[in-house]
Amino acid sequence: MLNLLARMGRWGINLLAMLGRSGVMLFSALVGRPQFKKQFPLLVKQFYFVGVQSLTIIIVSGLFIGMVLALQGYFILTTFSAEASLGMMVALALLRELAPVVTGLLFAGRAGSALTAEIGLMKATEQLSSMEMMAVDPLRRIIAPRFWAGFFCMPFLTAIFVSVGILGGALVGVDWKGIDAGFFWSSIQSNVDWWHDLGNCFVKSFAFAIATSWIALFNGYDCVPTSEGISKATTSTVVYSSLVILGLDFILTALMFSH
Amino acid sequence: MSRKVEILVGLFMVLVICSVLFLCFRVTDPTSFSSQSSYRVYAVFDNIGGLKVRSPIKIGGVVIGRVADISLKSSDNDVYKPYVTLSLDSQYDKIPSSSALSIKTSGLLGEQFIDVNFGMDQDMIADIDALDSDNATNNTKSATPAYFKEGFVVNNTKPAMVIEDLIGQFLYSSNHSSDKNKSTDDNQQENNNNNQNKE
Repeated sequence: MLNLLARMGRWGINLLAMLGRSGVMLFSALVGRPQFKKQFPLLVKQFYFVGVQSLTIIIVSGLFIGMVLALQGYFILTTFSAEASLGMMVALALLRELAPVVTGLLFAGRAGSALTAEIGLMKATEQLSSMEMMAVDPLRRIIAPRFWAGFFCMPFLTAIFVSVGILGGALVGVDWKGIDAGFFWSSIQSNVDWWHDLGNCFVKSFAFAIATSWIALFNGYDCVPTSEGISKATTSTVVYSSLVILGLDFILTALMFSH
Repeated sequence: MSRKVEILVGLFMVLVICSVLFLCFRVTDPTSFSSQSSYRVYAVFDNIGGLKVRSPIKIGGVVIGRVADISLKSSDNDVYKPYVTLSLDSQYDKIPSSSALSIKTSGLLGEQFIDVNFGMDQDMIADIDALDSDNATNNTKSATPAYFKEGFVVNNTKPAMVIEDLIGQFLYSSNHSSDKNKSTDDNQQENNNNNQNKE
């Protein structure tokens, strides 16, 4: 009985210590005197790894999700002969839910796991400690540019995802199923609100970006520096990021759209 | 390597800007966030049905404004009535103040909107008044402005048609008439049967 209690206590203390370490890591990585000249090339490089290399999976999945949404929506809406509002359905479903969430999940799988593995291997091969030996702060040099790259790239990728998804929906709805293009676009334009839909889409994706990059970087930075530890850290990055994204999504949706 | 990376990141940024522009100008209505100047008119209804904030206000099907706010207000002798704030586009400032507002539904299940039924122009009223100059209505005319303007309260309104009420009335009235018909029919049938049996 006491053993069980002690185990629970240990678990709680570990959890709190981990949260504290992750907060300290993020704080000391981000807060400090900005040195744009030194940091900008690092940021561009991380934009390439995090943003540009995720582009293929985002575009392809956005296109197919938009297309399949339009096809399923068409089958349902024709039973009410309301297929003219297909565009609105596709656009709102993408903007409000699918684009931020799916981009977040894909981003966690594609970029988050890569970041964790990279930083974990740096730690295992003692690159981080050798940087400290050379009086280079590894938090500022390694963690900060990766965090900012994730923070900005995910909303960018979400924007691309929505655009490609709506174009895919138009491809199926207008070109294949023969809905009038005017109806399709006007139902989108008259029902998508500037702040309520588009703004909240980006608020969501910024929130997911912070959560995903933070989890990925912390798991890499805090991993046990063995090959087993790195594989464990990579797995837990993907699992925790996905869970946090889905949970946050519910909370944000309840806050944004409940009234 | 570095040069190639920079070019690719540049291409990525161009793609992002393109898709943001697409979202701003193709997906949302670009005119919706250039706030046009508008003026506010208030209207008191008996029942607003399913009217919502941002429902359109139309004249002959053309949208001239949107509902800005809906609240409940005790207008006269402490009766609470729906009090709707209409925000009308200021380019349409020649709507006669005798116009009536009615809440209509677009299609059978569509959204509800406010339809403006054009009233008579004040000049025409003046002409009519001039014809029968005996009338002493001229006093009231001077109090109301000729056209809708900021802060004007419209009392000439028709409530929304609530389908449940209509169906209820219809069923109620049809039940009464059909019951009578049925009873007479039954009597006649019985009579016929009796007659047939006798034969």
